[in-house]
Amino acid sequence: MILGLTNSSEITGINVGTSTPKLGGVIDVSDFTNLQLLYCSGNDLTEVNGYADNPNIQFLVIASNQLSGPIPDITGMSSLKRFWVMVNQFTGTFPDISGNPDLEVINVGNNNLTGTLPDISAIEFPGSAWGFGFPNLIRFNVYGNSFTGAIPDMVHIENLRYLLADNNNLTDFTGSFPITLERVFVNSNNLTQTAVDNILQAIVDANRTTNMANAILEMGGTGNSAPSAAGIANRNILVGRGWTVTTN
Amino acid sequence: MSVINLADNIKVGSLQAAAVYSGSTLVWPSLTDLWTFNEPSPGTTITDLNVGFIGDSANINWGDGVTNALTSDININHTY
Repeated sequence: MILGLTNSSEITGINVGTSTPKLGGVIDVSDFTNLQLLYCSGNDLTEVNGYADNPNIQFLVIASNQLSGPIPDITGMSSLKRFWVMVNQFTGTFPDISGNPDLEVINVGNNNLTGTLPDISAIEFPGSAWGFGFPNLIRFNVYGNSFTGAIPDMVHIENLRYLLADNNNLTDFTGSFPITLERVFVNSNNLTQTAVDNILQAIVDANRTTNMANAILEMGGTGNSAPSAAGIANRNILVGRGWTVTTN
Repeated sequence: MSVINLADNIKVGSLQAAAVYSGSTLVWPSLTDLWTFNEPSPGTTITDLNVGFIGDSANINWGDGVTNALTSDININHTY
């Protein structure tokens, strides 16, 4: 059975809604060339095709389906702002986001991704006003995968508010965080004591002191090391500023 | 049966037609496939489907022979 639409070239947004009981199957938006928004979350889709080379799509939300295989190459999605593919069965590595300078939200959480995370502050955009990093990125969600290696330095992610990287196999962190950062979940990884200390130091150095109601740093859970004495001192500084901090 | 789904400017008198049906079957404008799925069990419902468009009209064929005219950015439901 095929659900179809007329006037495909005039369609700018599609939300297929939710189905009860859930429908599976395949969505293909190859012929919707002026599409800016595609929502098809909460069904049992096994494939969503035809979006990855569309330069007009700004909002792609295909979460909570049965999508598998590698995340497609999205470097051609030059207008992409929000990329939500969480709660699927995607495998492979973190997608190449070097063609997506306008990213505001990326959420690949709760998939089966592996490998290391990119050094997103070092990604260059030569034609941009800023040169490096993602100045509009507010949410970097990679939780619930099997990523290894380092949590990226966020030095050029100057408006980041949410870093949700819990439940991976991450071990390291060296770098800094912006003052905007208010929620850091890195619990249940394999962070070394140096990494734990570096995260605490970076958040102290970011010096957030206002709007602290949602300021949460979660570094507990299985696998992470406990902070050193210096780390504990920084933890106490953060608690004094209003952060809710959990460490092992 | 021949259909006129290649037409691009159908009028009734001087009025522009938005769609042409043969019985209950939409034959113009032509459909673009969006979602292919197995035959749903009776009672299966799609809730809050929403299409935004810049033209004057768009239609949806749900795949079971039922066609509805859409209003841009207004939710629509369908039960199979």
